Amino acid sequence: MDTVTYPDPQIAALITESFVPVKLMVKQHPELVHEFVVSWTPHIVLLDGEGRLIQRLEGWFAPQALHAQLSIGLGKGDLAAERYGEAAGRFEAVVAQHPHTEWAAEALYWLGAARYRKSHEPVDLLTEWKRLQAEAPYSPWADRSRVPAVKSPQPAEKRDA
Amino acid sequence: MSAANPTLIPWLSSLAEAEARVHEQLILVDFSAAPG
Repeated sequence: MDTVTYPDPQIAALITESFVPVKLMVKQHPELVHEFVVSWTPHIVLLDGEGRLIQRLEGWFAPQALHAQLSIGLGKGDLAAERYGEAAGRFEAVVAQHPHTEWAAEALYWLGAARYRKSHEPVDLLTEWKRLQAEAPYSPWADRSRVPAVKSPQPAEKRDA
Repeated sequence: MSAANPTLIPWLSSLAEAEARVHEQLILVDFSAAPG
């Protein structure tokens, strides 16, 4: 991460502009390693100002992958802070910048969530999730969006017939 | 751009310092096995 990913100008700019960056050596901070369940490195956690976990990234990331994941993390931070419009904008940007990737699939999943949380209209959720299923049908994120439809209860007389 | 310039990012070395500075931003904590 220190030799390839963090020196990338786009990554450096994104982290410097949008995050408070902290680098901790695991041997020097065993209490935090325990608290955040860091069993492998590289290991990144994104926290909000209250110390709540927003996103966890385990393993090595190439610059483009980290940029997408951090952008999704920013959107999830907005989602947690109930800034649904801002969250949707960040997820849309990931979809536009990384089309036809697993990151775009993840962003579409969360885009549906952000739109629904803002409007409380199921159609807003389903619109994005149907788009996800169409554009990335084999993605695990598409699987997560395939929630079985809840069937309306049958009238008592028909059910009991 | 040179191959590596880790100083581009103004890393802090304390979570407490980050929590004191954080406002609207998220804290990015990189747990590393070795100084880089």
